[in-house]
Amino acid sequence: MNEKPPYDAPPGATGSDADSGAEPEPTAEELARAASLARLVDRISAGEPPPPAMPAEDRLLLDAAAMIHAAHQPRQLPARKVNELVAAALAQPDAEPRRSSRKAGPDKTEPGFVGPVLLAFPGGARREAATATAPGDADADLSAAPERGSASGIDLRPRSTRLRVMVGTVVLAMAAALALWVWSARQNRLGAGRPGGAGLATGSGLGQKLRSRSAGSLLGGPIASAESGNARARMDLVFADRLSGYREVVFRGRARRGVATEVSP
Amino acid sequence: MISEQAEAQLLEEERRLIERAQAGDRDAIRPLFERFAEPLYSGVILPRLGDAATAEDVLKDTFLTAIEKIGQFRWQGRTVYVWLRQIATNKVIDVHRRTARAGRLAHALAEELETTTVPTTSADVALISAEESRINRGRIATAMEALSPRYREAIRLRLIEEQPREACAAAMKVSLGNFDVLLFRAVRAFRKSFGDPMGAEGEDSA
Repeated sequence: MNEKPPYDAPPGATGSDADSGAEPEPTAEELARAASLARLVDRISAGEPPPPAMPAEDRLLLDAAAMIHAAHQPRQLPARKVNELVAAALAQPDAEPRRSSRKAGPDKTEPGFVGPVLLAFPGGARREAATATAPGDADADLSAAPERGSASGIDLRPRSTRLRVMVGTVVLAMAAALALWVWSARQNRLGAGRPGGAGLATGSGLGQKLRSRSAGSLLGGPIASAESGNARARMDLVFADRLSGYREVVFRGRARRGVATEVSP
Repeated sequence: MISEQAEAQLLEEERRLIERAQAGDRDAIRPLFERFAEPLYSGVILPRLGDAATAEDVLKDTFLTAIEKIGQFRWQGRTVYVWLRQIATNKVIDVHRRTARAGRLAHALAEELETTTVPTTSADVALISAEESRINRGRIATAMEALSPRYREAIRLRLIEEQPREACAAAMKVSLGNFDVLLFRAVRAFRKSFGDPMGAEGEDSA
């Protein structure tokens, strides 16, 4: 259909880059999003709530449109609703008024007061000091739990605090790794000094035969190339030696308990 | 506008109610909440959030926080609305911060809080509402100055004057669909102007 393109700037128009000269043709996606926003704006005008689920970007645009609308078409809150909200707030059992406590020091009730907010450690998240605190929040609130309704899910701690926590965590991890390495090395040295080779726990009480050891002593040194194919015999020898050690451990235990130690064929 | 005498009486009544509330009678604060609910909602919270349901929740949270912290409030001879307004604005910033993409908008609101003064210290609710409305429109107007005339016109017709889409399209001599696109771009540009440049760039690149 013949339509005047809407994107040619009218004569003498000045403005943003988006409107200088002809505006770009909308894409299909933009057309769809524009239509969606149009329907949502209709809901704003009608005082209807927005749909519960919508794309995040569309919601941000809708919020912006609603802010403009609300600034020029203020919506009255019905008296019934006001009573409801006030009654609900007063009925909350957790919201107990704290009794007045006169505190010396600077008065913090000035609006727009920006005061330092101590950080609850460990792991406590407090709002950036640049955010104005409600007057009267002052000292008594510094170590309190985050106030009801505060943001959650987003780490609002100052960058310096996050950095300190990160550095501390890294230092602790490195210290733990170092301690583990030192302990392991110590164990190795202790193990190396005992008969039976490295890596043994202290005080095992096992005889040399029962410890992990090389099979070299059984096989008698390097294997001649002519004998390299006779692996089966060597394996049988090593296996018999290890089985003997195993039986000694098992039957020694049973003998101590008075159990018969006959080996079944 | 009320007389000075009436103003003084209102302030005295507020002071007495605050004292009772601080002494433990939480119900004493009810009249103050009922008095200032409207200017808080329509003057402070809703214009900064846009969504009515969320605004109601924030208003209730404001009352809850006020109840909790009433013991720390110090009477300075002016209306308690100033204090309630502070709490409400902080709650609004909290809401915006919950949305990651709206972080810069929250930052803009926080900066606005630091730089603007309370509109009035009067206890006259009508005056308070009028002053809040003036501030809100000023905020919007400042952001809209950065927009092109066509964008401003689209926003003015549709969102400020609440004209139907068809009437707006006819006034701007475009088709209905094209007007929708124009308004879409206008709102996006407004958001960028108001303090969310990353948000607008992200949308532009979509």
